[in-house]
Amino acid sequence: MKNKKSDREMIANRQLVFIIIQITVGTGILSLPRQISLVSRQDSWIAVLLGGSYWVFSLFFIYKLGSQFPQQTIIEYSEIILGSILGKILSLTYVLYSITITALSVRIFIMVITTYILPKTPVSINLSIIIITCLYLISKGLKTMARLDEFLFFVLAPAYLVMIPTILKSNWWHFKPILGTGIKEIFDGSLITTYSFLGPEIILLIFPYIKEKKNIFKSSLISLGIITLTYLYVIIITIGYFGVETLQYILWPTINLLKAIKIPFFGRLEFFLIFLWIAIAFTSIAAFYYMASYSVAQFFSLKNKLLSAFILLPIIYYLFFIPKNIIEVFEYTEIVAQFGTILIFVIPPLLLLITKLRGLGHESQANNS
Amino acid sequence: MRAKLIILNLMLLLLISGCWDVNEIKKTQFAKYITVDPLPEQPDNYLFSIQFPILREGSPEKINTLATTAPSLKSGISNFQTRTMGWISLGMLRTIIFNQQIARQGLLPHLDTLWREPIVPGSITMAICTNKQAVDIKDIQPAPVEDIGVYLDELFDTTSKNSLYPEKSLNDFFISLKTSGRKATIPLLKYGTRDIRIVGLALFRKDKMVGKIKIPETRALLLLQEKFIKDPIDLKIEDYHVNYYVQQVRTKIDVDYTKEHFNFNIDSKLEVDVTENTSEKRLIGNKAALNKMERHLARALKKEMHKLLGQLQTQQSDVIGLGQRAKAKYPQYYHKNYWNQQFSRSSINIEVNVSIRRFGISI
Repeated sequence: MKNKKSDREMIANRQLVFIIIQITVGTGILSLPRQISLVSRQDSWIAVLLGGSYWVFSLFFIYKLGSQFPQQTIIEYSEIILGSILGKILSLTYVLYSITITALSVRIFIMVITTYILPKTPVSINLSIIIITCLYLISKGLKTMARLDEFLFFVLAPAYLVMIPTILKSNWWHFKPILGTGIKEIFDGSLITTYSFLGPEIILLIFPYIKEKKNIFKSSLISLGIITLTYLYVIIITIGYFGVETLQYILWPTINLLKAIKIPFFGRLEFFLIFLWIAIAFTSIAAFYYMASYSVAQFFSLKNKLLSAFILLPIIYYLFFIPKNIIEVFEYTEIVAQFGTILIFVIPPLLLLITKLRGLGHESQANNS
Repeated sequence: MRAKLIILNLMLLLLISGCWDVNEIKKTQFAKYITVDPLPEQPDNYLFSIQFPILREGSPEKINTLATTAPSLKSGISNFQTRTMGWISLGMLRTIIFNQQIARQGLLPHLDTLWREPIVPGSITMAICTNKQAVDIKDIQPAPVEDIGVYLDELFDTTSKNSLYPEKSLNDFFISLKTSGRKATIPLLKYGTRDIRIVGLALFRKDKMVGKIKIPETRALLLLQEKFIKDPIDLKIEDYHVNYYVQQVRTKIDVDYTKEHFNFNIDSKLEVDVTENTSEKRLIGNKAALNKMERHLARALKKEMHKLLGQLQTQQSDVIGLGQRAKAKYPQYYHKNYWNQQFSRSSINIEVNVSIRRFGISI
């Protein structure tokens, strides 16, 4: 068995659930209600459910592909499946995708922090703080990251509970007429959710480190269920309160929602949410950064993963400053999301098909013998 | 060792980040209210006033009120900034009062910076002064407190709890402004020498005030919105007075579309208690007297609702949100850009039913 991982490095399936939730629910949750309601209008909640359902198929193929090469990552087995050159190209696309999505997540994070909390602090300082903190976390390895994700999942639950009072101020006419937007618009809206659902593809890289491989699909489905319900909850609350037309004028509707609530003692709830969201976004960025550094380490056969993380630092800094303004950030995010959609929804089934046709992989070899 | 160094560096970086954005509370001026008035002699400028409590210990004054002329609210705040010790923060801003003339011209230019700034709370109460310049609020000396900002805050808070007017915040106005099939309202104020009274609501079309309604119509509006609960209604029946206490309101609004017109059927059901009856008639066992009281209240409220809807249709200001219902049921006939006209041509039928549940423990 090639590259058999030691038990010390392995993560439990329960921890996989939390890793997927924390990497996925990060920066996208703040702008999702505006972006999706632009297209799917009052039926955005259906689009979210639809968008989540796509991932069931994707996760199934990711699991099946991983099961063929249980001790290897996509960077390693893509060369086995496609040959050296094509495999390298495919691996490189995953590497580039991981790096750009990390940089964009950091950019969105810093934009929110700079707007709401630290407007006078230089961006480079905020950027350094988040990147170095992420670097420190990933230097401790996957298991530490998994433990932190598990711990923070429960600590950060109040971030969603503080939105409950706005339900009392919701106007349910904002959701009518149900299904009045049109099937095409609902479908288009479900595609917009892609950026917010990006993250579970981390399984392609950490598959060898998961203890019970046969339960990976089940664990990832649990994560997907929690993520979809979280988004559904946020969409229903924001549309109920603001309405579809108003949402188009608000950059971060999920935060603005809490500007309406006046609560004794706490005062301003939106800042309470931001403080909790910082941790939510941090775990997401750290996981993407881990994905990027690990894929770079494998691609260039570096034994030291921390070294690859350090190598990525200036690249992330450079990519961070490419978008000129927030409009460009969202444009770049859309491009990367579309690129990610191909990598996640098209490539794994194709690789699985080629694996089967060529008789490669763990199951095929076992059957042949 | 390496880990310790990283932690140390992180802690240092965290300290550095605090340096840029640190604001000492003692050196911060938290504005409580802002007023906006027109300047007839300078049409491009407005008169802004601001009040904030002085937090410095030993200060001879407890509050500071400043006024300035400027072309916009943001530039007005910048003017104030040059005249105050410390940084002016809108993080605790509670009220913004506009002159009636400003409201008729349109509020959008004055609200832009408030919506744009993340520090500004969305729960700010908006109001319109009807009888004086908005800035004259500084001359009012309310009995309970020296700080008019605190008085205003309490006034709106208690009045909204008593349902005398619907709580209308910066966020509510923004939502009504951007949502088709729904128009905004803002409370109207009348300044006295020692107090401020809420005298009704201003009706809006987009961001411009187009009319006003008085307290009885405001109550009718709140009944239609099912927001007038746990509140009293006083009514004169023949030669005696009856005070009803509204326990519950259920208003059902149905819409249909016939002969190129929207028709709305409004059915309002109230459950009330009788808390005062100045007639000499005994109520215990007197079903006829109770029925009469129910009929009279239903008739009076129906009249108020008709008056309200008549005014709304004349002003083409759908503050109830009937347009949202029309859009939901007949999206093919609802026209976003012509809803004001469609609304003014709609036929509206009103039914009010009152049920007296309790009438006290004696008489």
